[in-house]
Amino acid sequence: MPVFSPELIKIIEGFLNRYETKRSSILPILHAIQDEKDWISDEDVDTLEKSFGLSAVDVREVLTFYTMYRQQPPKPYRFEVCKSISCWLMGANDTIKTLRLEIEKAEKEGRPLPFEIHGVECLGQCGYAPSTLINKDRHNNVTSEKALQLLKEYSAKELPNAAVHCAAALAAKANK
Amino acid sequence: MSETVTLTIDGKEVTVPKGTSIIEATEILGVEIPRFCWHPGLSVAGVCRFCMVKIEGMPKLQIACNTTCTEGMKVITVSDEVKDAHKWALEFHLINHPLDCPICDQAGECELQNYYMKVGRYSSQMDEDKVLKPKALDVGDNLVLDTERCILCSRCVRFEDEVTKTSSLGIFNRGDHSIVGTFPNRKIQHNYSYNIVDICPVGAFTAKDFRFKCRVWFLNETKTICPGCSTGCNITLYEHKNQRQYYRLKPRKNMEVNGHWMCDEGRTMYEHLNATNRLAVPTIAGKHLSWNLLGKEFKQKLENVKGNADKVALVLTPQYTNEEYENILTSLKTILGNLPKIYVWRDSAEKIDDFDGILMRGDRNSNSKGLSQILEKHAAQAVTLSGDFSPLASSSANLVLVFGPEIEKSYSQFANEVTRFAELSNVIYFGTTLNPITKKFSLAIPTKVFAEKNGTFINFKGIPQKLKANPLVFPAMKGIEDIFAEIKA
Amino acid sequence: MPVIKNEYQGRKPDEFRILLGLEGHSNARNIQTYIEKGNGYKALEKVLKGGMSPEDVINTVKASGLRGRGGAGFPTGLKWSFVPKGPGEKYLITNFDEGEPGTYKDCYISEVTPHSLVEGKIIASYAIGAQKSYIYIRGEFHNEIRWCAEAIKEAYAAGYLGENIMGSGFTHHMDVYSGAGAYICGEETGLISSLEGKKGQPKLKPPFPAVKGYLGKPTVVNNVESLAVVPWIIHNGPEAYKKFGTEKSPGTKLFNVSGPIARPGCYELPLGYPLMRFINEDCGGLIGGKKLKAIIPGGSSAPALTAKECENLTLDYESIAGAGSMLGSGAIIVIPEDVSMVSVLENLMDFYAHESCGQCTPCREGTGWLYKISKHILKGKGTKTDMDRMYSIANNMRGKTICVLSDAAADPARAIVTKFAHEFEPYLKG
Repeated sequence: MPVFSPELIKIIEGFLNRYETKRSSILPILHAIQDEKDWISDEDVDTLEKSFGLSAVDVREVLTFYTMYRQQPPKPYRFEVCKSISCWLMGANDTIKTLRLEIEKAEKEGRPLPFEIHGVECLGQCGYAPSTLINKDRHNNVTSEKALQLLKEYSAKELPNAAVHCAAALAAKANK
Repeated sequence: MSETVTLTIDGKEVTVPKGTSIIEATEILGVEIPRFCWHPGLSVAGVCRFCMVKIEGMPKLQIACNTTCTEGMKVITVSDEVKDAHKWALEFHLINHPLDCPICDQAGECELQNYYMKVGRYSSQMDEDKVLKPKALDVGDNLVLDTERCILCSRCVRFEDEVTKTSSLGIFNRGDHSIVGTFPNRKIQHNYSYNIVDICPVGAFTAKDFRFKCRVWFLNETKTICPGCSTGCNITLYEHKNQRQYYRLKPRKNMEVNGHWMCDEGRTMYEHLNATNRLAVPTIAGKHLSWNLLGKEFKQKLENVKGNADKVALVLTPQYTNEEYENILTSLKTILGNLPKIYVWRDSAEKIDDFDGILMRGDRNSNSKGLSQILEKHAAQAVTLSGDFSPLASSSANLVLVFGPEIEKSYSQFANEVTRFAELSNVIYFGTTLNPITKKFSLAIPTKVFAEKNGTFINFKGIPQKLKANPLVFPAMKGIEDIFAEIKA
Repeated sequence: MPVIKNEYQGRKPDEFRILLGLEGHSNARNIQTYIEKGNGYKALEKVLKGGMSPEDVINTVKASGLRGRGGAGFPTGLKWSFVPKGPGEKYLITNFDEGEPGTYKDCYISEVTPHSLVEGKIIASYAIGAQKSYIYIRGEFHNEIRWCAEAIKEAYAAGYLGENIMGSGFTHHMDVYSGAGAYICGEETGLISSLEGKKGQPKLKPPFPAVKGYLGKPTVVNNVESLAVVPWIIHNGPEAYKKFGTEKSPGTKLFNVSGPIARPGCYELPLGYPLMRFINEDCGGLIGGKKLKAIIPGGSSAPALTAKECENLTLDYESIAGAGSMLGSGAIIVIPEDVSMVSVLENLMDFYAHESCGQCTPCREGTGWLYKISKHILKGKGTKTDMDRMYSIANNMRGKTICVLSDAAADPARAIVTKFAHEFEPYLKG
């Protein structure tokens, strides 16, 4: 399997030419890789250096500095609950706790859910607390009740493309 | 517009060129402001926040490294407010530091320790668990990295970016989980990596070569010159105080010659100094000869060719001091009546004009310039032996004196070429290193190494630089000048 | 009682809408709506076709008294005037890295009136001579990124962006750049580093961005709200703008209310509006009629004020600063009586420890240290010494670093351990 798909390569090349310097394209390129593959591996970074002339150290600095980049293969859905002050005042911790318990319970019952739960810093929706993101979808006023409902809703959906891509790539690697 | 500005630092007036930072101005005055991230050979990072000073008229303390001196500025480095800021800055650096000084190679020359004694001396307030980070990482042929000891001053990162331009180091993650490192599975592999150990103010980077070998307080320092190439980097050589053992060398600042740095190749120039590798006593036809008897034998060999200087061949290498060349030439002239035929033996593979863009030169001899100046002074015509030894073989000399290279590895074909001399008859070989060939010479005479000499090397630019002698590894050893003095007496 | 200007008496907040005029409109983000219902791009026309020079624009904004809405409150026109005149590459960057806990006004602007931002940016770029501008926006704001990109696309299609805009000879290009999760990118030089493709670490000052910013070129970084209100000021004139607000804090400002409040949301208010009237009347007071314990008036970096301290305050820079806090981003976080300030402290310190960029030692180590101690106290394992220690750590983090994240962690910590010391007692052992 090539490291990047032809479509992704096109996007990367687009970013490399879009800004005043090549280096400025690092953040957008990492977003794009993640959009296709769900996470960013050392091999991806290595390829950015070898095939696109970005410095691997520069890229790794960026990759490890910003919290949105994933350095490990993730579960298909990242349920991110804001735990900063306003959401915390409105019960974000309860939402997180409820979600974690539900994930744990499902795991024990042998029906693992395709979610990881993260408490994250401010999502900029403080008036509609607790605010959450499931992958790129924003959900506000997520009480425990609403959170459980969202778990159900998303579990019933078809998996996102990036998650399918990620699983296929991991399986291919394991077969090697 | 004036090109200088005058300011006062702790009441002392100092005039500096425009654009000078306060920390540079304090260096001129000899006032020491504590610092970790600032280094005179690197760009300003301004991140350790240690070099705080008070500037009259400014409400907050300022960092001395990023503040430019202005006319009439009044800087205070010793007030209680400043002292308190220094103490706290140090404490912030130490709260997550492992304090593993007993097993850290940097102990004794660690800036955290030094500054604790100078500006710290508090009881630590830190009662919490420390952040744990990766330790003892193999990050290069010469380097080991402990990221817990690291204070994130970023000197190493800037060195990689600005000096070697290899950019192999970065600071990853953020906040108090930041760690310095290379890209996974990549190593720092270049000829200047030991400088990273030098500029690391703490024990984060240690040298594989020196790790766990010796406590630094057992070492004496000698200021001398690196013999590794024609650049002549200024160095400090470290010898054990109680044993005749060399452990390492480090660059010494000389802006005209090497700036703040030296190459890794140069760092190996202590290895051949220690007894295990040295030619210790003279040999005559393969048998040991005491130093007391050497003079007689040597004299005899020279007396045999007296008046026949043209039947004597003198082979020189460009690794001896000016004083030694002078002594050899004048002594032989006196003893033989005239100068012998002179050959200069050089490495057949050398690319004399090569330069790596930083410090290392293709001429791996410390004193090519000195040798040619002395030969010129004596109006001596020398024949170069470079791969082709036929001019010497066909000279049918009755006696051949060879002053072999001290740094044998700078001659790519040394092992082969030295055999060529051994094939000739009646060869007197001067050298420093023990090797199987030395016993084949009719007389083999150990010579001093650069660390045991006072003398002069002239570097590629023509700058004469002085070597400084340490006590001899073999106390009975005689130098070239002693041997000639003895037989002339 | 605070004095309320006559014009405000008896009026509801939605009568003061300058910036949020299109609020509630079904198709607010569309350029046609903006043009037809919001006097859209009239100000740009006035600037480019009405013969206003860049100096005229700067002077108009200066005269309006507009102060930066990102938090520091630095006069916007003055900031523009620091950019060297004459030709050469210059940049305008919009700081849409809205990450200060409690703040969500810029998101709201992009939701209601993204074209105000785009128009304001074109005008500001003309004023400073920038050929290129960026909207640097938080990576987590997936919707807002799309809205801004759409607005820019529409503006290009309508001829408000690109070469030779409206035949004026002024050329300007605009792009959106998305961050990737780092609060520190809201600091203007951290933002510039990030836009350069680096870690979002603030840069040493001097040099200041107006002289050496993005890629070493003169750069102005302005908050979304500061830029979005510029078209209104240009269109209506500085005097009209100054009719709102106080003498030193003219105009309107967006305020965000969060925490357990009956009607949270984004409100546009004239500066100088009474804080408690706003909380109790306009926002309907605390949920369930709970008693107010404290207010964090300007985003989480602003020191908390006790309910008593809030009584007579008005929402302007001077009044809040006078009480020892700051108006900041205008994010008002209400804390009810049943929430422990010890846990508030722990929550805030967790945030700053997580968000410190790690560059300057006092901040990198200090934020983590404060967090650990606050966690320790919250678990009931702390002592009185720990509180004193927090206070001195905070004191020694202040004013010692490249940017103010260190102060932003230290100030709330100092405020809480001093003003609410009594709340800690039950947690301390011995």
